[in-house]
Amino acid sequence: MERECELVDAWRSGDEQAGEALVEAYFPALHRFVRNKIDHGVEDLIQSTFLACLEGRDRFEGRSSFRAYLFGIARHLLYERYRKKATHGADFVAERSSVADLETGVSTLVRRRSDEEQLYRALRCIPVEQQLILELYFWESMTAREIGEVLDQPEGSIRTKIRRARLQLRERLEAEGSETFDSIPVGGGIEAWANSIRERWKPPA
Amino acid sequence: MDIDEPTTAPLSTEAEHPGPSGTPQGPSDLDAEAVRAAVFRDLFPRRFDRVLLGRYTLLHKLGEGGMGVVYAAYDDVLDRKVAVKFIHTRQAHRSTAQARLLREARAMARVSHPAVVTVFDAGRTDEHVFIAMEFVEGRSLSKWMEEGSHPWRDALSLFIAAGRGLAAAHGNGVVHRDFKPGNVLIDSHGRAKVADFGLAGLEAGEPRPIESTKNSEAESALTRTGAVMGTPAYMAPEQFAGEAATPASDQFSFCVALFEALFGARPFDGQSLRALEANVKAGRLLSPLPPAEVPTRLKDIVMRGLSSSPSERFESMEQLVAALEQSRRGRWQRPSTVGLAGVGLGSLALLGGLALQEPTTSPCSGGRQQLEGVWDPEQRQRMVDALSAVDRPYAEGTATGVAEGLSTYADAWVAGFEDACLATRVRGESSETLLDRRMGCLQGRRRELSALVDVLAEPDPRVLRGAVEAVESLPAVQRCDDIDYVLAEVPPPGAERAPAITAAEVEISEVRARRRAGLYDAAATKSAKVLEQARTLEYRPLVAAALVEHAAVLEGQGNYAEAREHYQRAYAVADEVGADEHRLDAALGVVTVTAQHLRETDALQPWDALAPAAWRRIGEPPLREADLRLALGTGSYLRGNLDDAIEQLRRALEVVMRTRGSGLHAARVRGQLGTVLSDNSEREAAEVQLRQALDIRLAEQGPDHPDVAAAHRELGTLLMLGDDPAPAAASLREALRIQLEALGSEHPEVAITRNQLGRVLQLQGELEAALSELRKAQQIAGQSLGGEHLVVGRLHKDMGSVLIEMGRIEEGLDEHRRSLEHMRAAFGPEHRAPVIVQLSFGQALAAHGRHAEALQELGEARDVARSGLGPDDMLLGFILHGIGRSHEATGQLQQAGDAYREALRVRRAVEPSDPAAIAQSRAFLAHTMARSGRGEEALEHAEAAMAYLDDPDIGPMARVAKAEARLGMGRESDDALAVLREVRAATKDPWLRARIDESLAGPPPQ
Repeated sequence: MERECELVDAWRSGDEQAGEALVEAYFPALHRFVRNKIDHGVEDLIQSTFLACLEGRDRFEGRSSFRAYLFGIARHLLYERYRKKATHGADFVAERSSVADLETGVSTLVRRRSDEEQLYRALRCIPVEQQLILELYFWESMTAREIGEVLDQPEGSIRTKIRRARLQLRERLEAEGSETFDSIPVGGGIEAWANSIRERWKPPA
Repeated sequence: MDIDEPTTAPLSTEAEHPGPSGTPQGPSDLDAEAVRAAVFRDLFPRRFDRVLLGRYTLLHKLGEGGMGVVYAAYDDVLDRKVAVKFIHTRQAHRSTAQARLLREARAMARVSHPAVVTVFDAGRTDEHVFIAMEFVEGRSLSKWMEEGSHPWRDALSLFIAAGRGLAAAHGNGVVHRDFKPGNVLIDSHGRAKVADFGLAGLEAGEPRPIESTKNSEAESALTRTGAVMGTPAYMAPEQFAGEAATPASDQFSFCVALFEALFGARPFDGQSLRALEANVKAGRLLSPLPPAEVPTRLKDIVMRGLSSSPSERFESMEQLVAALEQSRRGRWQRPSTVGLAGVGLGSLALLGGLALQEPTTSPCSGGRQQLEGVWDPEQRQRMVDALSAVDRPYAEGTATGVAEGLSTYADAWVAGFEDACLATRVRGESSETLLDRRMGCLQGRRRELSALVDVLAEPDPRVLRGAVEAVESLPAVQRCDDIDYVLAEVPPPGAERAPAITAAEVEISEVRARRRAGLYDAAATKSAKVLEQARTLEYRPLVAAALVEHAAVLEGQGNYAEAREHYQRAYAVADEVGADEHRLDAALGVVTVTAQHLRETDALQPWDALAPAAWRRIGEPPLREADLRLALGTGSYLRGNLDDAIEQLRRALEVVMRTRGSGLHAARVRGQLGTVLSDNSEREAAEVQLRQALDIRLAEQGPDHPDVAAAHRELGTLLMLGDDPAPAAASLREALRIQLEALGSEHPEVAITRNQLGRVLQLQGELEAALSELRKAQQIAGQSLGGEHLVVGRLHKDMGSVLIEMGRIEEGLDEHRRSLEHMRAAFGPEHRAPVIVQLSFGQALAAHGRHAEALQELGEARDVARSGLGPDDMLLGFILHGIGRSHEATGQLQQAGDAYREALRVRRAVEPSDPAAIAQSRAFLAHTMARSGRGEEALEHAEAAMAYLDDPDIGPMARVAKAEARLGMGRESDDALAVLREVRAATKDPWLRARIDESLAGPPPQ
């Protein structure tokens, strides 16, 4: 955290190498976070996130981690975009709207395994907030406290929501008649699955 | 699974856990790359399309004014941040205006003064002239004035400083033309700096009288910055009349600004430009003056500067500034207003005489008095007498040299004292707190000087020996000018403990003086005692200092393990209390002791990372950079990373030469660099460094110093690589003589010297003597360094080699095996040290015809060298040659040829390339080819190797290979046979004789 603060400070005072180091470090996670939630403009959103972070560094004082702060910004920008987009149809409500409703053309990201693809689809079909919680929890291994910081919600309610989101995802997969979900037991299996996705999404070295 | 918490620890970002490089890349990876590229391009456009202006990379805009735009920029050449001002020039006058501006800027570049924003450089683009200048972090004087009313003394301090800057520029023939609060910057330390000299009025060509612009634009220039020719509110009457700006008009502008700062309003009223001009020309001041607490004396000075007629003002800025200082001095001499209450005990004592001095003497000239009884003519004589009395031929010369060194140090101290005092009391650049800290720092330096003089006055041959080094290692006085350094010092504790702490500090200085003079045993008794005292006082910064000093003494005594332990403790304490200098001392101590003496690769971590961090924490002072790089280079050398070691040491040498010049510091770096270069097969470069190091030490330390012994030994070790072992033996014997006398027979340094001496005796064929030296070395090393030490491992190898040469094969092989185990345990298997031992082990086996075992060892060494040292390490070449020879000896020509061929490839790739080594591989390769019936190819390689006919390792083989090739091709067989017989008779290499015998016995196997 201290190092990140230093990098942000250095970047602000014109040291682009510091900026590059920071973006280098957080790009993969941020990209993972944004890419299956919007259908275009992924790079713009990532950029805006870093720029907002550059302008408002004071606000990450007291956060439990820099990435919670960064993801919090990204989440704000994401919701803002959904809100603008949703004006013609129903209003955007994070607890209800899903990416599948909001963004029609989210690309199919990983085609190698159909079971994974089914899971991505299922994630995009549950409410955005639940998708977000599950991805942060499994892919980014964030603590409930960190997720709470990203979503601006108390830690306690996040714990409840993690449980609910998992049930929702399971239901969704079952509704789609997924055969694979049963073969991935709700235990270490989902962890392994999350990890395999995470591994695969790392940028080329 | 319990979903309340992840079952695994939270994973952090990829920055800390880089993914495996072999991850398959699908379409999604390419997509990620594209997004990534777009993000970087947009966030860091300059990386792709940098806005470059010669050597400057523009960073961001700092501000914009009437005169142009200012950018923050980076000077790529000097690696520093600068401010670049672009001044727009109009089409009509462009070329003349630009030329004038450039001339002006270059004149400015000549002015170097702490109160002037330094101009570094100037140049032009199509439409602009740009000026690169010092980047000042801070705000302008006008901002400062807007912040509300400040005490008049504070304002006066800033103006006195700015006034000095103006005076300095005038002294260089540069007129400001537009002095105003907006052009004075106050940096983050509160120092005033005047900016933008000479620029106003130039951008439009020749200055014009103001009358010619009677329009609203000119009216608004009242408040606009960078108006046509200065800012009317601060302009002198003669400038309104269209006359050129002069030092006197600068003085007028300065006084307008000072008036404004003191009274909160400008001296001349003017609702319009015309009204203002009229008031200025008539000298009609605001009436009545705004109420302000300004001494009449000061007010009178300002009024004189505001005189309408230039001749009625002060004769120069310098005189004005002197008058301003006088007006301030009148007050601070009265103790009640001096504010000495904030000055700590130490500086109070130092400044004690100051307030009582007559006003005619400089208020800051008391430094010399402070050195009375410390370093004055009487002390000097006492020390010179004591040192000269020592019965050594070089005693008198050393005494004089040391006296000179101490006088230089004392002069620097007096200058430092005066500058610290002037900065606060006269120039008003720095605060009372800063003065307090600077004086505290200087007092510490005085204490060190005093303690050293006392030690040097003891008539002792050892003191004479250590005298020069002791003087050189006194802490630099200049560092007390470093604001960050003095402010970083831990503030002194409560008053009740202060006397005891001061007493302990004095004792630490005494210990240090003894250690610097090489009196380790006397120092050790005392340092242990001081450490105890520090602990009793429970003052942690003192404990850190005492621990560092005790560790250094232990290091000097050769108690390396204990020394390291104390350095580590010192680090922990220093870290805890924020004693940053001691933290660096401690980290450097750990790295040096570990790398140089204990030689434990694993124990370098994390200290070789903590040391640079500690150095950065104290602001990267160049004076410590050399220490740091020397330690890091030594660490890299131990790790076997020769390139990095050479790089660090070369940079260390560069810094040393820049900051201290050629002296003992340089000798230390050169010694280490020479040793590393020698290991990197750069023998000539190594010899240059080692001889220079020895010369410096002999000149500075005399012939009996233990450091001179080490320099002799380093040179001797290198000379062993040459053809004649005699000079190497002489150097090593001299080293041993000095060490036995100075350090005693049990010191670990003696073990290392005996080790090398044993090796050289072996080269000279004196095997019994060699074995005896090595056994003595083994005994000392085992006791003083411990059985795990790598020197012990190396000694096993060296004894093994001697034993084998004596014919005691089994004993010898046994020693080799022990050595190999030892090295692997000490360095890990993939380090060059165990590889070297295994190579030598394999060679020993081969030399005694045990080729199967040799191939086993050499094959292992080769595999480790390939993977651990990289495919073009020169060691690999040696190993492959050993393999080739054993294969040839067992008739496996094909495998032998393969080994030589790989050796050739390796040697061609090694940097710097060694043509002799390449020729050697070609000669041996040619031999296997000739024996396999590939005469044409063999001839080509052999001919190439013939260039080294005189080299005993190449020439004979080249001749044999050529002869065999000709024999195999059925040509001139009598001549060829004659060559073979001749080489056989001449060579001392039994292996080669055996190969020739094979040829002579019959035709090669087809």
